Amino acid sequence: MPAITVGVAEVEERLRQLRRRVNSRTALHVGSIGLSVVLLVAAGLLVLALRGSPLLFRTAVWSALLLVVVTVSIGVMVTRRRWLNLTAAASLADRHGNLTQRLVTLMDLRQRPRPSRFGPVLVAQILALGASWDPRRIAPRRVPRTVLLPLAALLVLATTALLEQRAPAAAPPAATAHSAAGAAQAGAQQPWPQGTDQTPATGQDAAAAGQNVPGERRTGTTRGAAAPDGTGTQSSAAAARDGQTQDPPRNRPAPQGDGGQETRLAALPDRLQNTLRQALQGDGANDRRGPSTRPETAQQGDRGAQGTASAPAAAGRTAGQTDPRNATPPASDAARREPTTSSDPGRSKGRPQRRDGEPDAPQQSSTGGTPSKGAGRGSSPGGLLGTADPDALAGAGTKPQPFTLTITSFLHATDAPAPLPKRGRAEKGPVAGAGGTPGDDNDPTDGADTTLADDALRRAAIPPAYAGIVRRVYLPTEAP
Amino acid sequence: MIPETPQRAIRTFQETVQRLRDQLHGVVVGQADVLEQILVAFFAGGHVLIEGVPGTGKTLIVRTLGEVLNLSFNRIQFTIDLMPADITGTRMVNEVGGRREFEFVPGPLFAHVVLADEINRATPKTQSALLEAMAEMQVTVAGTTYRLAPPFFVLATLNPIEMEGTYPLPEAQLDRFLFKVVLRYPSQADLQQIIGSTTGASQPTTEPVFARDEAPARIEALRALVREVLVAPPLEAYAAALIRATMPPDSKFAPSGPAMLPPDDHVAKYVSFGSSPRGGQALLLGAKVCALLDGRVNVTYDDIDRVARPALLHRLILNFAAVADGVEPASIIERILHAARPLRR
Repeated sequence: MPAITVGVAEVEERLRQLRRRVNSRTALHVGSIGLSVVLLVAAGLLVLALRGSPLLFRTAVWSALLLVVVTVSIGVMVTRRRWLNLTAAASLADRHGNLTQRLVTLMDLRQRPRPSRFGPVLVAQILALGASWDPRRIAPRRVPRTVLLPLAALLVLATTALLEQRAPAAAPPAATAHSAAGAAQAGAQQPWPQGTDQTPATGQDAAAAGQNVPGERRTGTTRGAAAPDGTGTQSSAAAARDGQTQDPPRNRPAPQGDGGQETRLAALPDRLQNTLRQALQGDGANDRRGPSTRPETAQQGDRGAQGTASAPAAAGRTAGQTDPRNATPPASDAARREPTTSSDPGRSKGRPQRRDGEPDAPQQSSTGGTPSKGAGRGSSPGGLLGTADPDALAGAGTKPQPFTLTITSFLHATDAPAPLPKRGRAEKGPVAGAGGTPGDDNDPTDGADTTLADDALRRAAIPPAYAGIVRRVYLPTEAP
Repeated sequence: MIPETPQRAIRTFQETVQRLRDQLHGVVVGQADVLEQILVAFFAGGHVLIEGVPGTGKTLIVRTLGEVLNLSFNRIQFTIDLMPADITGTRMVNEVGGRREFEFVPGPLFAHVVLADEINRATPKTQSALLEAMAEMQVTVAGTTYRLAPPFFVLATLNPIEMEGTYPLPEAQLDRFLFKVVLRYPSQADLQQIIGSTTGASQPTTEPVFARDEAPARIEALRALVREVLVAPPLEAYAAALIRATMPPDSKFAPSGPAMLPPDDHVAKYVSFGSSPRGGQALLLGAKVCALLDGRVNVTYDDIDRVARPALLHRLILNFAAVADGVEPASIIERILHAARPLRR
């Protein structure tokens, strides 16, 4: 059929042009919708990552993946259904150009082996009606409106940059003693969060904060960190003991950084180093365990890491390395606030409570801006050794030497305006600082018992033969 | 003969049909659609079954068509005692030169245009004789087959009333007709014109469109031109879907495999037998004529729809439920066409 070859070629070229236009528009349409979905999903994930809980974010990620897969599948199906070949383009042109199936017939005639006498007539008629099926008229190269969807989705995605990130759920876990100490220092450098519900304004914490000040008190950093099991119970009990014992202030600078602490650890005897490392690792493990085992605390953000009863050791460590000027606000906050809702018994067991629910004496001292005398430093192994000199500490570790343990708790009791709880009085009241709630099962006389039981010890000089016993008492994490 | 160029042939076809229309409308008042369908069937090479009450111009239409085509025309009045030999012809003993020999005397079927008036009044035996002539364009008498000269065009009439003493045409014979045309009563204006023109002193006359000696050849050439009209595969599929849709789904003759159209409730309820493949042939052939009449060389969906009703009307055999409910085949065809509109892509 050479007579119509030229005409057929021209018709085919116009059909190809129409096909390109329609297919590109289809691709743009489907691609725009798909891209919009992806952008919106990304925006939603960003919002959830910034504000949502991990569980919600995890669920949203999988849902988003499913949505994207479904969208892509639908897009592929729609594209395949709308994708035009030459015959489909001919049918489309027939409909839009009122060609009464001429183009479809021509496409079929093109494939027939035997030419028809009417072939040239058909091509001539199609070309004569060419204006009615102009590809530019049937499929004008207009950008589909759906391209606005990606722009809108991009705008939504950009607005997520204005969102502030919600504070992390918990302090980063410390894997080793080095990282624990580093985390403590990082905590010391951060300003105390405002509006905390639970503040470490206990006697031990306040004392630890005060001990961190050079020239005033010996550091109490390891007091909280040395909790043997990482729970707040023992550390709180130790804090209560420390809060009732007062040592004369010893000028000892707080360790700065991991290097300084490591140097000090290296100066200690091996046995003591191991004990400290185990204690620090146990504390780190407690920190790592805290957010996962206490989800309600983890959701409180970084406030719970320092102020909740779930991590009293970490709170003590962090507060101990915090400048008292920074440590004051939480204490005052704690004094102003209602008792916390935590029901951790270990938190409040070791702390004497006042009948009126006010914080006990050490906390009031810390509230006043000066470290509490009753906060004590006996929990510090360095303090127990009676000197801050590493050499002396090393010597004390190798050979038992007599030392004097000055108990300041008695003096503190006279200094502190709050009276000690009387034995046998089962007082119910809010736990000072944190960890207790009104009406919980904490026995407020435990602290008084401890105080009274320690009176004789405070007044006695520790002979060398009992040095080990005293160390075990004041070093709960030391390996038996 | 047919001009060389296809465009000229198409134009000639259109002009010829238009002249035929004009001549027919000069004699037959009204019934434009019936005349159009008859012309379509004629150039498609088929036969037409005309159904109408007496006095509506059935015989007039056929006779006028024969005259304007300038073809040989015979009329057969079918009666109950009509024998096959009466229409096909018979062998008679003829004495020539002292010798007696059988000589075949052709019957009224040996004409280009045959009017079988009231065909349902003849016996099935006679009807079958006509059936062979319509399908094979030949007659067999005493073991001898005689070819009918093309073009051969049969118009049979049916009287829907006075069914007593009639022999309804069997489905096989109905299927031989390409179209079935229903003649309605003329409208008020047409009736007024009819009675005015036929009762005057001068009768309307016709002029033949073709010369007598070249008429058969020219008509055959035009019929051949019709068959060259192009049909795209989607339209063939559309016609096949229509035919398939007339078949009741629960019929034991229903074809297997999925259908392009969903089964229609009326078809399942009222149709005993659907159209045969001849119905599809009628659709496409009639659509081709319509395409040429519009000056196109390709068939469209509208062409198929246009001839669907006369092509399928007599091919739908309805059951008693349809008769009881007053359902006509035309309504079922309309439903099928409506259901098939989504296929018109």
